[in-house]
Amino acid sequence: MSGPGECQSTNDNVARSNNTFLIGMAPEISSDGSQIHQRRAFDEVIPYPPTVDDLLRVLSGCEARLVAGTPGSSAPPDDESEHGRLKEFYERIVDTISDGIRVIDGRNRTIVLANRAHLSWIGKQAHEVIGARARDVPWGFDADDCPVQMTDIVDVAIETAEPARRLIATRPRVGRELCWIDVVAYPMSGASGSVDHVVLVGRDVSERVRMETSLAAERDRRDHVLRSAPVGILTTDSTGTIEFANPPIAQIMGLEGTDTVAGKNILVVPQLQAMEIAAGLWEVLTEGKPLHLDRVSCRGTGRRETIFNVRAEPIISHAGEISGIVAVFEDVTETVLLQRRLSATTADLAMLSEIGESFQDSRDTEVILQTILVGVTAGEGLGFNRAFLLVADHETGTLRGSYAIGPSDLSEASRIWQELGKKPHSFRDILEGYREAISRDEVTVNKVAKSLVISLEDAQNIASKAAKERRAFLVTDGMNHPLVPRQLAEQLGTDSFVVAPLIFEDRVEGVIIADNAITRKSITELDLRSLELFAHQARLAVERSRLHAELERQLEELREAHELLRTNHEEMLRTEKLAAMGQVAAQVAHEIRNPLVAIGGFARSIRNSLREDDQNRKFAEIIVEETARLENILREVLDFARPPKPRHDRVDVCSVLRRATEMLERELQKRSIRINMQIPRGPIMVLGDAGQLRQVFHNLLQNAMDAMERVDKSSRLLSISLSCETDRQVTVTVEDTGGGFEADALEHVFEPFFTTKSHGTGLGLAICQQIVRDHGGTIYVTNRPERGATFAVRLPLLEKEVLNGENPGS
Amino acid sequence: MAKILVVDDENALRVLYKHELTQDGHDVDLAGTADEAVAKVRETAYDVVVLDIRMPGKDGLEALTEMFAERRNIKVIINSAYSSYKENFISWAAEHYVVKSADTTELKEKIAQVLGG
Repeated sequence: MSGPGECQSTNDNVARSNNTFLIGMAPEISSDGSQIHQRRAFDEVIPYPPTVDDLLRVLSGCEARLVAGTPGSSAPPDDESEHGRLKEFYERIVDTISDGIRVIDGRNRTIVLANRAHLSWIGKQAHEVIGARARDVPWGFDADDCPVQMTDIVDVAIETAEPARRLIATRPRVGRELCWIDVVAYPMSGASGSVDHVVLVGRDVSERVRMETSLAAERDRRDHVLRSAPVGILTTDSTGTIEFANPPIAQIMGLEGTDTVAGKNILVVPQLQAMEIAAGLWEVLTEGKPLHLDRVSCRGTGRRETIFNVRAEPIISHAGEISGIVAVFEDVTETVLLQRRLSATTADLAMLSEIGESFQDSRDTEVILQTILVGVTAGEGLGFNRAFLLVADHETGTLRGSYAIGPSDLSEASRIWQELGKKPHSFRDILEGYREAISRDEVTVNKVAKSLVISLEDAQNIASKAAKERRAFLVTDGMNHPLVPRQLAEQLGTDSFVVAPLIFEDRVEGVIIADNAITRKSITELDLRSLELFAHQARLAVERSRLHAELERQLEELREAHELLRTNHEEMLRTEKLAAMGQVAAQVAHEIRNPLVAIGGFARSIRNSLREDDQNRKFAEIIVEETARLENILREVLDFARPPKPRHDRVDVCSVLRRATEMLERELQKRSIRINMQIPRGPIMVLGDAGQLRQVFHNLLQNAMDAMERVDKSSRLLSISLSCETDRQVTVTVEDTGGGFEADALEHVFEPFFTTKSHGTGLGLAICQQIVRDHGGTIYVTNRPERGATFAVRLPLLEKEVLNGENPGS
Repeated sequence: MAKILVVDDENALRVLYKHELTQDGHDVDLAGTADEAVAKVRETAYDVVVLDIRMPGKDGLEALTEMFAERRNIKVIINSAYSSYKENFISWAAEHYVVKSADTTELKEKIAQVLGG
């Protein structure tokens, strides 16, 4: 037997052209053998290789024609020869068929016909087979070398008059591997209508079976892959009915198995609807649009949330139509939760850092304690529901409940937490928010806090134990805990809490009791360790901040000391400079003085000798005035260079100031300067030299008057005041409206030889400063740009005791 | 009318004082140094001596001491460019201290005072 792909020799009456098979009479082959011409006996065109059905159909057609007369021949048939010729023709046709054919007589089960392919398969000659009983000639041998018979299907074909089929695994008599033969038994009915022959057609389907087997294996492997894939995979047909769903799908959807979804339409699977992706999947099917969804949440009742990414693509058939969809569900729950945890941890760290900063900022233990309490309860912090602060009073030996943070009940809790959840709160916001609540006594938690009073020495109490042993405790069964008095558990209203000591600078400041009384969330060892860590952090932060503050303070002291040194040094330099200048000035002044006196003296003499109407008298007068001015300057220089020591008399500053003002009264009137004078009646006594003080006030008033020369008469106002802000000193101020100093001039006004006037020595204010200092006072100037300058002199008051002691009568 | 000795190392000032005081009707003698002044005091009994302090060589204070040695009751008016010496002059036993000035009014008043007293 040969396979369908192998070509047998070409029979005269059967011509092959491409994949069609023409059956006809007397084909003509061209001389070169390539071109086939044929006279067409029948119009039938059948595909190659022909099936048995086709052949039987064709053959029966032939027979009918043959009975009616040989096609293409008009001669009447010769029965004997015609029959033999026909039989031989049949046999030759049957031999051309590549399937093995065996025809069995239905009555005695003998073989009446076997074609060449069949004989070749069973390794027999025709004469050995024809007429033999079918069961004696097996179709080959199976894997166990047993002969393979077809009795069963032959029986069925005879009994039912329907074709029967059987697939056998067999190998030919000699060599060759096991092949798969598909055998069909076709019943043939005789004239009586009953089956008189059975045609067995055996076709080698090894190739197909092998392909099917490998296809099945392939399918198995594919299914296995899909089933064991770490992602959920789901496919539908073109109507959206789920054909395949692997186990992870069931896991993602929270189903017992995939059976509940297989065969259902995606639109009616409740889980897909709940996830709000059913419509999206449907669109993939109807629109052909791929679906990409990230982080879809699925939260079945009573099970944890799963989060997954969905990718769905249409399955496009060869015809280009959407034949279904394939959807992939990737479970990213772990990743997302990890990310959430990570960002929560980041937030925690940020919060801790903020808390640290708060500690740095505050020097106040109270604020620090509040900060700790907020840190313990803030969601971004340790996240306890409530925290109670018990402050240690070492004098009375008690731990006394001070205040607490936390909601009173679940409704308040949800309100607060919702409020907090609305916008990201910085730690400072939360702290501010709580400050107010802490101070309110009517708040439930504060009432509870206030009710807590525990002896520090109470060895039977977990709180005092925590303070004493300086470590934190986790209590999970407070009602039956040996160190938790029933009262404490009742006051707190929970029997699960943590107690942690607060230690700053090696001193127990108190303890914190934290619980989850509202949400009833269990407290773990991890929470305890977090609290301990937090308390430790707080302690470090507090100590660090206090150390920092101490360093700052010391630094400030150093800075001040340095500043003082610098000022003293500058003062010293100034003094030296002044002394040197003074010596030079004295020398020069003295040398000038005598000639000046001579010039002035003779000028007077000349003036006096001249008559009133003599023009030279006027000139002499000018010389007299100018020399008088020069003399005045020299006096100032000499006074500055060798200042006289002040006398130490009791002086009434009020009268000295009034006297200095009175002396300039005429000049003030002349220059249209208004005066605003606020001098108390006095007496206000200082110790000093009246003459020198008068000179100071005189200089200041003179300067103020000169400054106002450059402004309009209407705006000239001289303000003089005297006041005692404290009982230790008196302040005299002289204020003008002369426009003030230039900014860069201001710092030089007390320097000798510095002047803004067109004439003058620049010594007036330097002398003033020296005199005021000799009196133990200070002089300074403030400038109001565009308006004027204000000079102030502060002098120490004569002490009252001295005043009283020296004036017992007054 | 009094007999007055003016002691000053500046010639211009000696001329000035002589002119001024002579005009007032006084009999004025002059001395340019301390020694000259002491010598003149030894010879003549002046009613008043007007004495400068800062002079080259022997200064006015030495001259003052020597003058008192010559004449115990001699009346001296210090006429100095330095106002700062004023505070010490009382211990010098001089009658008055005048700050030297082109305006001789104060000096003349002091002389009148001394003569009147």
